[in-house]
Amino acid sequence: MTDGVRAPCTTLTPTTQACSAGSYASFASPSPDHTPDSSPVPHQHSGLPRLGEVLIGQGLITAGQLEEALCLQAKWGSRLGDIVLASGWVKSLDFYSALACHLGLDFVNLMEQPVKDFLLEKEQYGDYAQYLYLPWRRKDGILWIATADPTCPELVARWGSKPDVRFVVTPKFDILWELQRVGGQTLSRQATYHLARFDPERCARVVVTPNQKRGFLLIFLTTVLSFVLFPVASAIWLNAFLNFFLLLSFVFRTLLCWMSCGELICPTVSDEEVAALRDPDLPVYSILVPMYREPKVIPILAAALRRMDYPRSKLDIKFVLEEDDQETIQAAKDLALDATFEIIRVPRSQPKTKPKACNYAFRLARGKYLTIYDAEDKPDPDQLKKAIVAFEKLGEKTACIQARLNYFNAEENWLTRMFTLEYSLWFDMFLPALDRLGVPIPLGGTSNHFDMAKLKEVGGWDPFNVTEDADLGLRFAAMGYRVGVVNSVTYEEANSKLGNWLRQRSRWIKGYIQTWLVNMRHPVKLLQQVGVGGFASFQLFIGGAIVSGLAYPVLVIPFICWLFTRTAMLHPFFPPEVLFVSTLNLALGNSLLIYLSMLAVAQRKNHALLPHALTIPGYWLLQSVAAYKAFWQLIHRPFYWEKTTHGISKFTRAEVARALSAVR
Amino acid sequence: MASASSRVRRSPVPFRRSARSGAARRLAALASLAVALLIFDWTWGQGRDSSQRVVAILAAVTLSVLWWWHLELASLPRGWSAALALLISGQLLLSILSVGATSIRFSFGALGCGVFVYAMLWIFGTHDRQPGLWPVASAALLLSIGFIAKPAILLACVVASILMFVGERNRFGGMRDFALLLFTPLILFLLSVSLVAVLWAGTPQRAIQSLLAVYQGPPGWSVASRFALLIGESGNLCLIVAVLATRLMEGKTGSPDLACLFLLLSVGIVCVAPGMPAPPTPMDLSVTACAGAGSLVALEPPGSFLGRTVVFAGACAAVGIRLIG
Repeated sequence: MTDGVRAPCTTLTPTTQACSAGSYASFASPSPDHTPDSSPVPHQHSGLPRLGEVLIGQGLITAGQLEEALCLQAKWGSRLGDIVLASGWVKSLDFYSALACHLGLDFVNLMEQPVKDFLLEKEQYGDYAQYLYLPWRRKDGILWIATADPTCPELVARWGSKPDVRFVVTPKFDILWELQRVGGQTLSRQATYHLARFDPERCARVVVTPNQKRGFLLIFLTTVLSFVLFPVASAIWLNAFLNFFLLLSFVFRTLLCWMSCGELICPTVSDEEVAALRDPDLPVYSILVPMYREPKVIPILAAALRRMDYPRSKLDIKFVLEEDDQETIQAAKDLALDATFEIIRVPRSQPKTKPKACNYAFRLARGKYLTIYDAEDKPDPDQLKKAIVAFEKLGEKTACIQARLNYFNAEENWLTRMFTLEYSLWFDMFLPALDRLGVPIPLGGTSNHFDMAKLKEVGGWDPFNVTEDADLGLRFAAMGYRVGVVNSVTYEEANSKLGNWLRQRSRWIKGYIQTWLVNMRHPVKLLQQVGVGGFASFQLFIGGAIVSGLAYPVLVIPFICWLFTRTAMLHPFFPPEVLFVSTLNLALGNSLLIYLSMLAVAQRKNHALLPHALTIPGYWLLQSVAAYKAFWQLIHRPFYWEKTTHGISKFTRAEVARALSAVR
Repeated sequence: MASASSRVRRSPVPFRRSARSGAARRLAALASLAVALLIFDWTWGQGRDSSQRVVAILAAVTLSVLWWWHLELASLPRGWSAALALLISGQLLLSILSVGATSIRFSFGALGCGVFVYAMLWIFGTHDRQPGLWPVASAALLLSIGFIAKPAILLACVVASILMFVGERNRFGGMRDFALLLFTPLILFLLSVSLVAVLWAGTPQRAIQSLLAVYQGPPGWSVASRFALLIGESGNLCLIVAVLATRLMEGKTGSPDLACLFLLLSVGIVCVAPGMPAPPTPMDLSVTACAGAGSLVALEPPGSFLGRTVVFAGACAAVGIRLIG
């Protein structure tokens, strides 16, 4: 072997300790007719020490720790090595070195002996990440494969019978690091342009298609012309249209809330169903945590993830960080988390958006299911299990399960209270009812749990859409998949500063406009794909959010002007009938939405917020400011991702302090 | 084995028969409903305006079919559903039409009262079965459109709602939050309507006058004539007595029955009390009784043959008194 490669150790004396479940390779037994010399498959004969013995022999773990690991192995059904790594007792490098000993293979440190770039095939990057291997070197006609899991059945099936292939053991982090070093740019290009190539009609890379441009121009010119020729009639028609649309939107939302209050919406998953799950049957679950310049809040999620009621050895947690964000990378490293946590560095490229980072990272994920959390999220501990039960209950066509979101700093100030009222309404009332009606659900930004295969099938997130989550929910619906809602909550940090809130909200509304534009490129096709109910719900829900944001000041300001001045200037444009209808609609619509917000917080038993719901019309005015900003940005900087700063709440500081003590 | 296979062989036949007979019974029920409505039109329509007859027959069809469907959902057998739907909807419609003999506006007012009372009692009934946020929210939203009924009926329903839900105030975070949940839509809607009315009418006084004018009954009714009318409307009282007796007999009485009695009593008192602005008329009381009876029947249809027969007899008596009167 070349220098830098440690030969397998054979000097350990097997102990008498019962270690029957201590084999790393519990499911891949080599064929007996393969001799160690001619096969890359690791040796599993009785002459070699068991992994637990090796780890104790090398002083990496104690006998007590081994016993604990074996208990966990019996409970979780994971391999001993995964449990030891997830427990954080052993450094990754030491563990894989011991594993090489156990399997009678050589160990290689890829940081010292990097892979030969030309050996890696671009088409295989997904497989490399999934099965944790890389073609390392080719020498004397022998291909050396560096792997963190030499007993992986897929790896054995592919390479095991080839006489000119040998395995060496290496840490999984080194594999991911090398894969990103060699294939980072390719993966980044795939993350950015895959959807644009695979399904350009559903990608927001082109903001407005030529046909849409012609259509909008025609509508604009017709409107201007009609206002010039028939100003009063045009004002009446425009007013009537806006009022009618908003009235429909209010009624639809009321219907959704009314459904959610009653027996019509049952909890998706009960505690008994969660308790009935067997840990050994649980699959590997990937968790992506995309972050940018958020070093302070990482401990919150790290602590929350450690509290998760899920076998740690089956978690594949990835902090997805931008390459140039050294501060956050360092903060993640400083936490010295166990091997369950990985750091993925996204190469610098445009657009620098969260969906692009997610697209990049999910190609490196190994789970059957995948979810996304923000750095400051605190998911309910049983959320992953509930999502798995929900996937099983809702059937094969379910591609995604959305958990409910809410805020842990609701009581901080008026803005956070309003934000909490809004989120309670959205996630506790609207989404479960949409789910019940079987119409497309716009996903929330985090805590959406995906079936990995289906996520790959639809091409991942749209990196050019700044509310990629809402877009993805509709894309799933258009492709015949279902999005469900689960009765589990993730608590986040509500924006407590106005500027920060405006940045976030304008991005969301810009994304809604992008989503609406993308889906309305072919309205008839959309109608066929999602049905009449889905189409109407899309218009009233997504379209309603855009129109109400933009139309609110148009309807309110003239009314207030007229109320205080009784100016005759507006009389021609607001004949009594129009004024009557629009005023009534404005007053009743506002009243209705105030009450729906109250119902949402009452449902959550957050009664302290009930009186504050009366002030929510002021919040809608702020939303209108954000809507106009979003509209302006869509024209000038359509793909610009306005960053929301997290960790500015005083509640968050307390949360971070608590989390740090838990993590350390 | 033998019995299992024989079951397998036999099972499709009754199924097909049942499906066929179900469809046939449905068609027969609908046909009898249509024939009955035509007879109703022929008997009631003598000497009336043809446009009124068209509106009446359309309203009767809509009401009967909707209520028939509601009764079927409540698992009442199809034949009974059709019979009760025909009789009680017909009776409600006759009451409304007799109110509207002077003006179509009064018909709509009476219809508003009927729908409002029906829905309110139905919500109280669902609260009995499943307490929680849904009944309170539904009652609150319904109260907010209480302007479709007369102020006295709205007020009676507000009081009934408080009595009905106040026991659960702690579930909603105390008295203040409970009041907010129950009355916010009503208060906001009243404020909105008042604002629009003031803007429309110019001054608050004119706004109040115009709002109350909406609820005015036929002019020139003295207290004595109201009493006389009240006796004339006794058909619906027969109906409600039959329904309440059946529920009592079957042990199904609960808070909706008390609420129904409370509504009838309060509306009855206000109806004959002098000096009330926009008082409910005896016709409104009659409509309230009919809608209340219908709601109680739909909430939990009579389970026994005797119960159904008593309700059916009450409905026949109500229609008979109306037609004879």
